[in-house]
Order: sequence, then C-alpha cells, then structure tokens
Amino acid sequence: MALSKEHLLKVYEDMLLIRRFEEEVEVYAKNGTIPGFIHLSIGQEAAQAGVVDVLKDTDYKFPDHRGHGAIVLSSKAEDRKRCMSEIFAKASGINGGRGGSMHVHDLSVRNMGFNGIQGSTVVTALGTAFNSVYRKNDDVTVVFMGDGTLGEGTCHESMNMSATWKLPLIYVLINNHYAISTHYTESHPQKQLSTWGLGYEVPSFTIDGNDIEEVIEVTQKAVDRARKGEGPTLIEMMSYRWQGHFSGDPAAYRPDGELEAWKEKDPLKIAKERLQEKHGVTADEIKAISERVEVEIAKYVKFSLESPVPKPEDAVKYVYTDREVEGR
Amino acid sequence: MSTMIEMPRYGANMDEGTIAAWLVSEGDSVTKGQAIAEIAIEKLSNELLAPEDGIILKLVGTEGETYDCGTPIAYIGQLDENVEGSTSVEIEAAESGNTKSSSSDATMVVMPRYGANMEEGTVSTWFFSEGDMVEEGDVIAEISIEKLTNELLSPTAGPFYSLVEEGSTVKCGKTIAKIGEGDVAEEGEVVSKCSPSEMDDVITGNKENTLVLEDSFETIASGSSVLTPKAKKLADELGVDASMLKGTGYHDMVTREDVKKANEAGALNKAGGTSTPINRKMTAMEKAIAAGMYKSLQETAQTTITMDMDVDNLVAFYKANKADYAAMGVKLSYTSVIINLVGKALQEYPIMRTIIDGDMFKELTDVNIGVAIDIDGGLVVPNIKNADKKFYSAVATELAELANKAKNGKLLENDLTGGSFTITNLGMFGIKYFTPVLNIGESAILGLGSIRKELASKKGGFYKKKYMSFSLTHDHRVINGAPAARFLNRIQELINEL
Amino acid sequence: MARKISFSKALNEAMIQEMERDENVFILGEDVAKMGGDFGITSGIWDRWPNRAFDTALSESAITGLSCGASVCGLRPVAELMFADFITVCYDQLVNNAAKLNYMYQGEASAQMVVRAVTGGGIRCAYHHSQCIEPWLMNIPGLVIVAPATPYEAKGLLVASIRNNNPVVFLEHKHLYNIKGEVPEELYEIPLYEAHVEREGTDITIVAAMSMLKFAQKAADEMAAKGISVEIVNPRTIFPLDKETIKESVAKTGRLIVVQEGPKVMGYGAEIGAMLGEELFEYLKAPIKRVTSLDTPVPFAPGMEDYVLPHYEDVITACNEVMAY
Ligand SMILES: Cc1ncc(C[n+]2csc(CCOP(=O)(O)OP(=O)(O)O)c2C)c(N)n1
Ligand SMILES: [Mg+2]
Repeated sequence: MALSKEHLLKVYEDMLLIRRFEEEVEVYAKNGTIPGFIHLSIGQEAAQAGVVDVLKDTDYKFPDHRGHGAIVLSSKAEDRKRCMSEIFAKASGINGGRGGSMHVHDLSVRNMGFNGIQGSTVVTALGTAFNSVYRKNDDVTVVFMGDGTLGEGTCHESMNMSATWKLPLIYVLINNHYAISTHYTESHPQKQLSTWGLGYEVPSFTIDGNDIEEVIEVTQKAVDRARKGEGPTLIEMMSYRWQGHFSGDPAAYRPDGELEAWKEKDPLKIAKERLQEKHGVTADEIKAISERVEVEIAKYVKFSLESPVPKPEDAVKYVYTDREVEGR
Repeated sequence: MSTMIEMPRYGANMDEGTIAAWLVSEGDSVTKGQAIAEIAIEKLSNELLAPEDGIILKLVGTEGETYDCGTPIAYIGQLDENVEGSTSVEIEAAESGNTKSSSSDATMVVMPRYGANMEEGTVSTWFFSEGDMVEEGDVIAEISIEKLTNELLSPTAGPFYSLVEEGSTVKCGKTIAKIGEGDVAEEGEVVSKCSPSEMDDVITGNKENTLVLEDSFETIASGSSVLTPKAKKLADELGVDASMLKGTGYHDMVTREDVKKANEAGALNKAGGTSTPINRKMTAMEKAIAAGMYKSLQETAQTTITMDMDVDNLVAFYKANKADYAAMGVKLSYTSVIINLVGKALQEYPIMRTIIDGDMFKELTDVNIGVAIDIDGGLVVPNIKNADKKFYSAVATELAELANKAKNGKLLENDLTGGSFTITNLGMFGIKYFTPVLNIGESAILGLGSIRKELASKKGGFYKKKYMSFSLTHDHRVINGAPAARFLNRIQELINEL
Repeated sequence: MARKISFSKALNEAMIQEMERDENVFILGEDVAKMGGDFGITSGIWDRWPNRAFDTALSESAITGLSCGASVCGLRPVAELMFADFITVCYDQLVNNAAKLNYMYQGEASAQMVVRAVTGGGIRCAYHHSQCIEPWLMNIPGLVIVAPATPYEAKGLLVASIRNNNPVVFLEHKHLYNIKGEVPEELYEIPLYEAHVEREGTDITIVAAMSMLKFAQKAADEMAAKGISVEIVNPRTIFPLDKETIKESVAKTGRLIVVQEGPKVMGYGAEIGAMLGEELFEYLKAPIKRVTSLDTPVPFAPGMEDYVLPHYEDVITACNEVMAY
C-alpha cells in the first residue's frame, strides 16, 4: 500500500523528529546531564513512527526500553517536551522525575510506559486488551518487544492467553538482531522469529521494518483484525540499531561493515528518496521540514535544561493511593 | 480653593528644574514647610517645601521630568476640592469600567491555612487595587504568619476587590477578598489591626519563655503519674520527684523527656525566683546574631543609599512568564527574578563584592547571593551559589528550597558560607526604606522594600506606576557613593531590559 | 448478628456481594470459574456471571499481569493463587508492576487488584504448598498484605481490599477455611491498615495474625487463670503495619510476644521487634520474644511438620519468661 504524498510527508517528519530527539538525548547523556543509562532507537524510526501512525489516542501502547520514539510520537504535541525533560530527570517530566528513560508514560494518550523488566509488559498488555473484550469496545493494544525479549517465559504465557481468548493485542517485535551483544540466531532456534506465533495459530509476519510504508500497511491490517475481534497478530519488523545497546556501548560485537550496510537502509533515507522520486518533493520542502523539526527540538531541549530537578522529598509521594509513607 | 505649586526658581540663572523625586503621594496630608519634592538643577538639588497645610490633591509633574520655572507641578488643598486648571486625567480602564453587578458569581478568597497550627494570618500587602483584573495564579497578596510570609495566589481570573485592609489579621478560612463581581457572603472578621511585626511579638513573643514554668505549675494540680521504666530510672538518678509530673507519652505516661524537662524547670525556678524578670539563656544562634551585628557595625564604615526603582517591567515580566515556568513546576517569584538581575549586575561590578582583608582588597570571585530569612528564634542567611550563571527557574527553586530548609532547621554549612552579597526583604511588612546591616565578610547588602503603586504623569495625563525602593548599605571603606549608585542604576537598567 | 457462617462462605459472600454492587469487579484464576476454585471459595460466581469469571491457563504471570493492565483501565480484578507458594512465578508482576503503578502514574492510575493467596502449613503437603509468604512481600512498598483471622474479618477485609485502590495480597489460611463465626449478612468493610485489639490486658501484649490468633487466645485464658493479664493485638493488615496500635499496647504492658507461623527470620515478628526497639525502647520491661516455626522448609511427614511449626506451649513459656524477667 503506497502512502499518499501528504501522509508520507507527515510520517517522514515524525521519523525525523525521533532521530533528532535521540541525537540530542545522546549528546546530553554523554556529557553527563542525563543521569543513568539510555537506550537509543536511531535506525529504528520507521517501526516506531509507522505503528504509532496507525493507532488512535484511545489505543493502548506499551513501548519498550528502546521506545523513546513511540513515546514521543504518542504524546500530544504540547507534552512532548515533557517526555524529554523526564529523561533529563526533571520535575516537569511526565513522571515528575520518578521514571526516567525507561518509564516515560502518558495515560492521557494511553502510553502505558513501564518496561524495565524485559517481557513484563508482554503480560501486562493482556490486561488492557482484556478490558476491551470485557467492556465490549474496539480499543486495541500494541506491545513492543525486542528479539532478545522473546526468550522470556512471559511471551509464551501472553500469546497462549491472547490467542485462546482472541484478545485485541498486537505484538510488534522489532528484530534489531541483537540483545545487548547476543545475536538473535544464537539465542533462538527459529531462523525467522515470527514463526513463533504459528504454534499458537496467530497470524504472524516478518517485514522490512525500515520501510515505513510497509510498516504502516501491515500494522493497519493487524489493527483492523484486532478491532473486529479476530484476535492477536505478531509482526516481526527487521531493523537495526545504529548505536550500541546503551549510549556509551562501543558495540564491539558487531562484525565489520554490518553497521555501514544497515546505514544504507536508513529508514529516513528510504522515505526521503521516495518522496523526491515518486512524489516530486523538492529539496526546499525537505529543508523546510528539517527546520520545523529543529525549532521543535530546540524547544524541548531548552525546556529540559531549564526545568528544575524534583524535590528529593517528593520521593515519598504516590507509594500508596491512600496513605502517606514516612519521609526522612 | 486649591493652591497651585509651581516649579520654583532658586536663582536668577535658573530657567528650568527637574523633579528628582516626589517625597509625598497624592492624598497625603502635609504641613506647611514640609519637604514635598526634591528638585534638581544641574548639579544641585533642593527640597521643595509645602506652602501651606493641606492635602496633596494632584502631582502633575513627573519624576525625572524637567519643567520650566513657573510650570504648575502639584496642587495642594482640602479634601473634596477639585483641581483647578489640571489637565485631563487618565484613569485606569479597570477603575472606570468597574460597574458592580449583584450577580453572585464572585470567587471568595479566604485567609489560607498553611499548616495545622496556623489559626490566623496577616495581609501584609495587597498587590492589586480595587477592580484590577487578575489572572489565575497571580500573586495577589503577601500573607504573614508569625515569622513567615507566603504569597497568596489568585484562585481564578477576574476583577479583584479586597475586603480587608492591609495590616489586618484575619482568622484562617475567613473571606479577605473576592475575585469577580457579585456579593460577598461574609467578610473576614479582623482580629487585630496592629502591625504584623507587633503581631509577631504577641503571637510568639514571650510564650516560649513562660512555657516551662507553666508546665511545672500544672503538675501540681494533676494526680499521681505513671512512669516508663526508663523514666523512672532517670528520675531516681536525677532526684526528680516525678510522682506529680504530667506525662506526654503513651497513656499520659511520664517519659524520660518529661523527667529531663522537669529537672531543668526546677533548676530554673530556683535560679530566677518567682517575681523577678524572666531570664532566658540566649541560644547559640541568638548569641551569634548579637555578636555579628555588633561586630559588623563596629568594624566597617556602613552607609546606606536608597533608590525608588520603576518596577513596571518587572511586574510585566513576572506576569508574562509565570505560566511557562509553572509548566516546568517552578513558581516564579519577584524575589527570584531580582536575585538573578542583581547577580548579573554583581558580575559587572566586582567592587560590590570586594572586601578588605588586612591591608589588601580582596575580590570575592563567585557571585553567591545570600538571602536573609527570618526563622523562629533568629535569622539565617543561606546563599544561592553562582546566582549570576543560573536560570530564573533554578534560582526560584533553590530559593524555595533554602527557605524550606531554613524553616525546618535543615540548612547545611555549605548553604550558609561563601556568600559575597546579601539581599534582605522587608517589603512584605510595608517597609519602604531601611538601613540593612552588612553581613560579616561582605561589603554590600541590598534591602528590598514594598512594591507600591504611585501616580505618575506622562504627557499631562496620569497613570499608575509600580515602584519598589531599594536600600543599599555599602562599606564606604571599599565602595564609594558613586559606584554604589551606579550599581543601583544598573539594576534599574536590567529591570528595564527584562 | 446471630448468623454464623464459615470463613470460606464469608469470602464467597464478599465477592458475590461486591460483584453485585460493582460491575468492574471480576474474578480470574486457575479453575475458579466452572469448578468454583480448588477450595470452593469462588463457587457459584460463574453460574451467575459467566462473563465475569474466567478460568485461565496455568499462567500465574499472565493472571497477575492481566490484572495489572485491567486495573489501569478501571476494572477491579480479584485473582486467585491456588497456593500462595506459586507467587514466585508471578513475583515480577506483583513486585515490579503492581507495586509500582501508582508511583509511576503519580496517582493517575494504580493496580487496584486483589490477589487472593492460600497460605500456611499444617495440611501435610510439604514445602511447595505450605509456606507463609508474607515476608517475601513485606519489603515492597506499594503492596498491601491483608491477613484475616476470623470469618467476620474475612468478609469485611476482602470487601475493603476489593474497594481499595492499591494492590492487595489477601492471605487466606487453609486452616481457617472451615472455622465458623458471626458474620453480618449485609455488606460491610473493615478498614485496612488498622490492627484490632482482640482483648485488653495490662501485663503482656501478644501480637498474632491469622491462625496464630487462636494460640494467643488460649494462652491469654491460661495466663488469666494465673492472674496475668494478656492483651492481644491482631494486625489484620500485616503490611503496612499499624504501628500505633501495637505501640500503644506495648507502652501499657511493657512486654511483647509475637506469634507467627513462618520461619523466625524476617517475619512480621522481626519487623515489629525492630520497630519497638527503635521507637518504644524506654517502655519495655522485658526482652521481646518471638514464637515461630523453625528456620527450615516445611517438611511432609506429620511428625516432622509438627516439630517445625510453632507450638502452643512455646507461647506459654514465652509468657512466663517475660513475666519472670
Ligand atoms: C528480565 C530482564 N532480563 C534482563 C534484562 C537486561 N536487559 C535489558 S535490555 C536487554 C536486551 C533486550 O534485547 P531485545 O529484546 O532484543 O531489545 P533491544 O535492546 O535489542 O531493543 C537485556 C538483556 C532486563 N532488563 N530484564
Ligand atoms: Mg534486539
């Protein structure tokens, strides 16, 4: 399914926003402004932007640890700066500084956050999908996971249950080839990970995760099935992360030339070429998009830098819904 | 008949003069011979005296403006008189458009309760006048409670009407103002109208001093008491007769703490007798403050200059930016903005942070601005480090944190040392000018006065302007008057550039 | 309040009445629907509400994970863990998800779920079906652990747990299922986080939860005969503990014995003892005593199991010791 020029322009801008967001985050992670460790999704923009593009605000999204892109794009425009300031550990962050990179959530757009434990959201997502059945509505749930995460036992429990109960749940498995240093062929028996779904009689696909048009087309089909009550779908999206596992990992485990080969398949490059060649988009139009994105990102960065850090003593808030925990 | 006051001629060569400052405001009553303005002519300045007793009806001349000799600059007369010959008067829109409807959708603003122990508070300053439009979250008043002050934010947007006067002390929960037109159910019952500082004494004053004695009297009335095992042991050791003590522990049991207190009270009773004045040992902090203040005044050549700052721009900046900062979770305050500006000025004027060390001038390189904070039992001056290099947001948050730490006795050594300049604020008590005392180890301290509105004229019309008086005490051994004045002027420029 | 029913029936009634009242409440777990649960606690629910009672696969992670997710959508899942020991295979969902949701969502949503877990020993089933698991969860702020001791508490505390917006692990001791007691027919709540003084006394405080309460009661009778007055505190909510009630009691008596079925290390006895040592030291007249299991797995052979579990006589010994100190 080829996208219209306008649609492709829009998702191109989305992808560029992710790319630039991640690049800025990397700068501030490396210079120590952002505490902790950060998993960057540069190289995987198409999979995130494409999936979010298909979803509504009322659909449930469980991004994973490499999910800044999905998180930012799910958020309302005015809240995106707060996604970044959360990663900067600031009080204005969307979790008030409690969560950080791996837990940025925003319930107003049903971005459910939480993903520090690999394979954990895979079963939590059953609950939101179950809710749609219990309440008889057509909200769908998407859970993002990596190739490595498929090794967790919860994946079996989740797909077993979602397939049995025909829950509106879409497994987006971004196969970026590595779980930290371990190549997926070293930890799984399947050559193609999507065959995992077949044992549960779940429709399963492997697609080019760097081609946003393909991502949108297949995700749309899965979402349609889910909305009609036909149950879960598994989509394996082949992709590659350009950075190491976390910001700072030199990724010495990659064979020479592998990264360069994948950079040729840059999702942004693919989309840009298509825009120019097929839709006659000019270099000036592309430049205008870049400029818009720059202005946007500059706003997030300024907001994140200027925002104050949270009050340490607020750490005792929200442990329980109905009682206080003693402070120092 | 009102009397017109003209720009005076002080000598044959004088053609024009500048109103350097009005020393009175409209509505003030003056007596004959009272100085009402400062008139500057070239390098000189002169006081302009009131020609008769009366009330200042209008100040038509603007501060800073130059007028030909003989030009009317003010009118003096009796109340209800009209100003003759005055030019058309521009009145603020909100004031004239202020038709009060009786629809009762006004929002009441009540005296807030800032803590379980607060029963009443004092409105030390209203920041808006009747009918002014306020936005939700605007700081509408400064509320003082014992030694603390808090900013009261508007709960909604609309025209503002105060229902109690500044200086009134009102019970928590009682209405003190309303936002919006409409009727008010009940007004705050004013408990007392003495000045906030007097109230401080009434509320907190000597109570602490008498507490111990009260406790020991009470025990005589109560029956025999139960002691915790450890309290009993302690009472035996100290020889305290605890059988009549009133316990503060579980089930009113007498605790070790109670025994210790009774022991101390007993000692105090013996020492002080019953009818002699109550002696109280100074706390370490009180001693330090007393010694510090004395030393400061003995060892430096302190002098204070004051300047009325035009703060319209500051107020505008605050209003324009507070929402942005609120999104970051920061409550911007006037003080925090001023600290930033002073930080910048201090960076440009190293002299203001130069001190004498033996026979050397020593420049303190870091711009660490101390803020005097009034706390129970004393005064502390924690400082904001590198205030010149920080965002407004960072200063605002740090300031709030320091105040909070100060209140809870949680300040750290590092918070209190390393200061190079100090800011102290008495504006919330309605103080305009004062002579702050230098913090030891610094050469200047800036006192902030209240923000007030005064009429000013422009192009023959009148409009309201907001002023804030800055009182700068400097050590004249290091800083002469002119650099000190330039420093103040620089702050005014920075306010204008906001 | 004349009606007497069993602890099991009280639980069953609590769920049915809450489901009548609130359609967001549903039950799920292994064999809880058609069969009505291994212990029959959920019987009759599926018959009335086939769309609100779900038999799941053997998937404790999926059961608790689903409960977390559904909670955030506003539902109120009541999940059953056939044996509390199985909590290990869904520990992640309870510890890393349920207990953290409210914190992460800053109060916007929380894991308003109940996990009913069948706990305790004495049924000759060995170490995978007999453990007291509360210590495994007691240092997870965000979780609530509720432990009823009577049919009256079973109903009132389960109702309160279902209505509470925090994740509650609701412990049901197997030995209590058949005991009978007075239970009001109407719906009522017993507040969480509040301990209950079962009996007032002045010389010794005994803190005892769940099946241990009956030891405490018997011991109190026996000591009363000797002129020693025992006060009994039943925590009801084991975590977070109602420190105040316990402190008030011990401040009065100056002597404390904690009776707990699990091993001695790190149970609620350890927590209460440490807390009193810190906060109530000056009131103590004697050392704090704990009567517990031995620090072993729960063995199968009846003689061995009885040897390991706490003994009633130990409570009496402890009472005598603290009085003689
Ligand atoms: C239960 C669990 N085990 C291990 C980890 C540590 N860990 C974090 S990410 C990761 C690799 C995940 O690989 P994959 O699922 O392929 O995602 P990717 O990082 O490639 O995006 C590991 C092992 C974890 N967070 N949780
Ligand atoms: Mg991977």
